[in-house]
Amino acid sequence: MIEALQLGFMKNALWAGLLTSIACGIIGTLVVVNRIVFISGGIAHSTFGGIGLAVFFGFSPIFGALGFALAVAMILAAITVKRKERMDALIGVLWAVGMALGVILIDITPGYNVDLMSYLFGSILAIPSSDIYLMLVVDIIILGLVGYFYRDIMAMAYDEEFAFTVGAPVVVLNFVLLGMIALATVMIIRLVGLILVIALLSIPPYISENHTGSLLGMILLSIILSLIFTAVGLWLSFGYNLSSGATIIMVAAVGFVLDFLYRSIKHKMAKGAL
Amino acid sequence: MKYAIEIEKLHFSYNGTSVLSDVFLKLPEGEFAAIIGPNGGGKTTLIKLMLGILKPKSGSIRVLGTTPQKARVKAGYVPQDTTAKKEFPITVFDLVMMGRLSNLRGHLRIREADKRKVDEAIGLMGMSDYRKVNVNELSGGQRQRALIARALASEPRILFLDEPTASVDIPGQATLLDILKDLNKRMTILIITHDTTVISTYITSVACVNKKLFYHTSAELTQEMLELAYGKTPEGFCPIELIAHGLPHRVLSKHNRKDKND
Repeated sequence: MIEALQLGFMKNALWAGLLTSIACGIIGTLVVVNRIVFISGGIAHSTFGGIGLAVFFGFSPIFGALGFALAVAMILAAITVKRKERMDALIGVLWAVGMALGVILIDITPGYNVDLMSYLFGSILAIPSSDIYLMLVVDIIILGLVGYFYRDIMAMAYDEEFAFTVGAPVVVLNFVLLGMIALATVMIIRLVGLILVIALLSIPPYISENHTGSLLGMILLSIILSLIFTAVGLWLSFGYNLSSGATIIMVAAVGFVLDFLYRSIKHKMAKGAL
Repeated sequence: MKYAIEIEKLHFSYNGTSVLSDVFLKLPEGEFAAIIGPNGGGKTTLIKLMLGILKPKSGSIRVLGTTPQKARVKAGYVPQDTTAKKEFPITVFDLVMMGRLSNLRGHLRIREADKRKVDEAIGLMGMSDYRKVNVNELSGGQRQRALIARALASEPRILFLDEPTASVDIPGQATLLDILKDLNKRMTILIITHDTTVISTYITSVACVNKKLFYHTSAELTQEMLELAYGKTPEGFCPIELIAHGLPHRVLSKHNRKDKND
């Protein structure tokens, strides 16, 4: 592992892991407490349409993904305002149509040579330095917005109608929240791919929820867990020559199961003691 | 006379089904008004319209002389206990702090003045010992008091409560209502309730809501009023059982509880 650290791509991978974990812990927590994991899944998968567009028109797939994710997020935010009760079906449509669009655009692109798998399952070991800076910018944007609106976001997640009555800018914040999810999603796609995004967004906060007493605590613990899963996943994937994205998710899954066992044993012991 | 609420010719429908129709109401400031009526009769909808959460299909609502959207920051709202997410990690202090929300935007550190207001509201509801306790560890009555403290932290001039006694035991209910009676000296109170003992002891007027609204400026409940509110058929629909001789009546809820969010 020491020699691995000295490799340039490994250094980039670890930086990417750190920066992604910060976004992942914050946005994942908001996604889990707002119960919009499915929305994040929709945004992540539809992003493939943006990658298809970028490949077809010959610009950088990362910007195609970013633009498309933001557009889908804004559409979903608008639907949240107008027709919340039909949300799940519409997410399903955007989810599948985005992917279909991507596949067809890549089909009809002459001389197609993009490594499709890296977008579907991540390619953390192939992250260029320029992407690291982009991730840093995304982190700063997310930290700034969540810091400024922290109490509003918390109140909205707890009870949106009450938050409205004490003056929270509910509609604007729905757009902001989904926009941040889009940014974070594209960032995490580099790490684990668009198919595995929801796992890394939801597993750390889901574990944290049971071990902290506040939203901030949940965010901080999620960042730490996400960082551990990423680092251990990277190390294992490097040592055993496995796909990095899938290995990271499997490590997170092991963490999830261990936490579940720990809590049920603790629960049983507490019962026995009474 | 100054009116806390003025509603004219209000109509509201949801997915094509009319929920409230032709509602008129003039509620003077300082009232302690009860809103009674069957589940699904539009009580919660009416409160949400007055708070600006829902917008009427037609007609007008004035709250404290202005639109509900503008008045909402002067209104305190205690939603049904079932509304909030039970597993959400939050302490009583942070919950009540939500009431000061518009003062907190952009501040990483909470100002002393806001902390004082929050502690005052918590103290008023007798919850000072539970400041740092997680809301999901509280009993039904304690959670209800925390929710009222949250509404009070915004220093409202009008307080809306949606079935605040539903998950509270009998002694707890009495304490809660005494506190509300005291608060009524400072603010107008509207309370949705099925508990008619509440009505006969504490309130100054009754609004019976069952798609239409019938307003009574006395605290006395008559058979006629209950029939207006709940309908006449004793079976299937009407949850009322008249006990003892005349008033007060007790309302025994026979309704299926799953349609609580009417």
